[in-house]
Amino acid sequence: MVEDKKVSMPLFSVVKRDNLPRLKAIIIRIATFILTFFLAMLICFFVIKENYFEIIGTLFKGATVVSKGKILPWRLFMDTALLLAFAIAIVAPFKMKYWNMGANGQVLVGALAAIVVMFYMEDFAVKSSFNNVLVILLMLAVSIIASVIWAVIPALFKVFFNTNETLFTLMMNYVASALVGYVNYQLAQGKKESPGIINSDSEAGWLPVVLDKYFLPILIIIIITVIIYFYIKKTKQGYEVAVVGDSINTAKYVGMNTKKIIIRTLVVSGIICGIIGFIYSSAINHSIDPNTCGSLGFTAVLVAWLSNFSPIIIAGISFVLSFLTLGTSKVSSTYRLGNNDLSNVIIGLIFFAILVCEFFIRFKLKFNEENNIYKAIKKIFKKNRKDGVEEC
Amino acid sequence: MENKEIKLELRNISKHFGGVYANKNVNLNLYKGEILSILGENGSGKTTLMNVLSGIYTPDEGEIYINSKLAHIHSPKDAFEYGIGMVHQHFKLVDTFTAIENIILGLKEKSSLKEALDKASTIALKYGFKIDLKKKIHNMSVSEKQTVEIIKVLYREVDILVLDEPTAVLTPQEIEKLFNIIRKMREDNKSIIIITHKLNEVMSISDRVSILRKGEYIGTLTTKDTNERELTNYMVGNKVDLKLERLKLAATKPTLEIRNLNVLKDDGTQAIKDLNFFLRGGQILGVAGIAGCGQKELCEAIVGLRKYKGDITHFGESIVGYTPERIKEIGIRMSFIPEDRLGLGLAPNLSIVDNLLLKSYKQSKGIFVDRKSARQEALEIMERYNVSAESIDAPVKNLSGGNIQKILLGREIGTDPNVIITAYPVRGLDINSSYMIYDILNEEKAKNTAILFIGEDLDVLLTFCDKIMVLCEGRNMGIVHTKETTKEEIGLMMTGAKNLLEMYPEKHYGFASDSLIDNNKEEVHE
Repeated sequence: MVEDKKVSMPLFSVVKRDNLPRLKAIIIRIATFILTFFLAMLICFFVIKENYFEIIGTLFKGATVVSKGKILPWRLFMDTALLLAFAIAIVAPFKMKYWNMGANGQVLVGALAAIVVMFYMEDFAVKSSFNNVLVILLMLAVSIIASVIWAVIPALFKVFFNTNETLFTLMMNYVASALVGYVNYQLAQGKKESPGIINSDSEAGWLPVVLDKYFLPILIIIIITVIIYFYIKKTKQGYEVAVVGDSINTAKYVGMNTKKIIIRTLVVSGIICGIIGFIYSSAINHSIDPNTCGSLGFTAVLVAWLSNFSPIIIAGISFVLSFLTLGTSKVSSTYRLGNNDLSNVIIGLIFFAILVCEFFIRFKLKFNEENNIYKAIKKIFKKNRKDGVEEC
Repeated sequence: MENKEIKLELRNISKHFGGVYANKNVNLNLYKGEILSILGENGSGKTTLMNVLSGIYTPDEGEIYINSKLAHIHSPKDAFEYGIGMVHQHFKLVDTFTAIENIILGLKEKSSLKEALDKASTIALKYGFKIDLKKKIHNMSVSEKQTVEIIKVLYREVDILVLDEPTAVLTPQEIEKLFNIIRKMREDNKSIIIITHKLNEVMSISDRVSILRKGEYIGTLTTKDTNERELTNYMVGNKVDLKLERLKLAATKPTLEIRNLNVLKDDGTQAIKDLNFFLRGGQILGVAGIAGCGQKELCEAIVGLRKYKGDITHFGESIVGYTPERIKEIGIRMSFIPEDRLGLGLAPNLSIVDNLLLKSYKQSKGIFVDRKSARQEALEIMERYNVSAESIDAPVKNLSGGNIQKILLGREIGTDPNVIITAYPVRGLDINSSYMIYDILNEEKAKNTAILFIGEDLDVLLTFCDKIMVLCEGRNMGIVHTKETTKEEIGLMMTGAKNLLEMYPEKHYGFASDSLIDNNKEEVHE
């Protein structure tokens, strides 16, 4: 006989939590965020070695910077709105377990289509303000059409040939980038790499400025968010999306046309991407380059996923991330750090904390009392051991 | 037997998933050079136990001793090191590799393919396997694949071999071959565990039988001192006195007539072969058969979820090739209560309310889902069928099996169906819930609904149904009136030993005498 009598057990097993009260879960999330924030600032402190609270102050100032003659921090609002818009665009496909990684590309082709219209119709638009409105509407329409096509191509392949949508949409991003590069080159007639700001003198095809350059775009995005919220929660189509995402066989059995539903949902997603593309071209940049969207399409994936596909939480997380991005870049420049790596470190930390927190909201660790390591640890903490794991 | 050396011992093994015990205090001894059968109904914990033994699951409690030494098995690799090899019911082979490549896959010691081929051929020769080791897996028949799996574990020089339902996929001739091979292994002093729920196989192959029931260890018997009746009693427990009612209703015209139905399984093999039968309103047609002999595919074909060849008519009107959507559109009220409740009948993460809406959400006007009346309906169903749930907004997957089934049934019956297709509707349910389900089905029958009831418990089928159709490997073995048949007869038909269609071709089993399609053939038996 061997000495050791029991089958050795792993240190812990992961057990699903039954039902954590909603309020408690929310409190844990907020507490996690605040704790992580101060931890992140501590890292800043060790890097910069200045007054801890001064750094936090700089961060807040940087995030809420108000430009001359304005009252509100529009930049922060716009960044939040853009991230929110991207996440809202992919939330319905994601709910359907259709992993659309191609929001960047879908927005890019939309923006590109709008730019092309803006470029070639300047002469028509400057004739009257009515013409200008027509051009703007045409830009919106072509942007939506282009984005919908870009979104639906992988969906068609998915439903008819069962291709993997993750890879397909990802590849479509590169095609879109290349396309933007090519068209830009053509528009600049080969003299430069890009035509720069389009119609900078006539402002033809530019979305009119109300209150602020950013006000109308933000308003549009808020309206889209509200519509999508109701679309997902209340409409029959949103309901079908939820059923297809949860159990596609059940959906088929109750007589849903799952192919149609998948394609239709991607059309909706494409429409939103088209509107974002239009906003980029007509309201924000008036120009285009392959990096116009940065990596918002991918950040949005994380945002949508972490928010459990709830538009309200998406808005919250988008705000937090935009706030930190702006704030930390201000910190970087103020203390002459030379680059924006600090910002990436802090945002990575926040993401990581959210993930850990979500994990502990859904699961708990059950330690095996038979495990030797557990026994050893227990010995150490014997005198003063707290109950529960509050990693969050 | 007593003086034999104990090879393997399981002591007090328990394993639970969530709150449900799959195994509870299971004890098992395995001697050197013996064949031990593990017998149990579907869901009695046989496979879980063997997964514990082969390192796929870690037991929550209990110990495993091999050669009287405590063994620590945390992975299939550990299991191999202790000389335990498992042949799974669902093969785990790389399709694009050849047999020999699969056999040496994952082995640490480096040997040339030639050496490996030699070694594997020697094993094949020794036990009498006939196999081309250079053939690719995807070109192989199921029986060949199984052979590869067995050679794979033998190649690793195991002396405890676990076979999980090895005969389920084999023809009778192949089964005999396999049994001969297993006997040779026994002569070679290997210990073999064979999991099965077929009694005749237990009797013919094993030295001893261990019985599990609902995850609990019931006992071990020496095969030659027992008989099928005794084993059955241990397996199913005390005979429950069934107080099921069989309503006798006047015959109506056939509701659904099915002719020459041929359906394929997912893997392209034949699931249902040339099947003819019909359903009448106010009648329950039971379907008996060994698990996996085409029941699932039959249901899916009828409700329009699976492609098939043949004719399906509803009151004489063809519905061939219709999707569930189309069937609903033309006004046929067909309800399906599938075996896979959460995978096919319900959306597990959605709430009770949303699940009740599944079939009716389109009926409300406008673009919004009408959850208000669905909530009302949810409360009514919960009250009528005594469903206990925390809230109607809770995900259905959190409910117990019985409550889940009541929700599903409540929804399906709410559509006032005239055809109900149901597969194992009481599987996994407690007695009270089961009886409630039977009552609900009887109520529906009284409304002249035609019911197809796929069951596994023969006692239930015999008491509850009007007629029983017996399937064996996807073929109809005959349709019998429950009053005029016996359990033995059905058992014989299930194993294919008795084929009424061949015995009495003049009776035209499965053709209605008052068919709405044609009147060429009459089922005399009717």
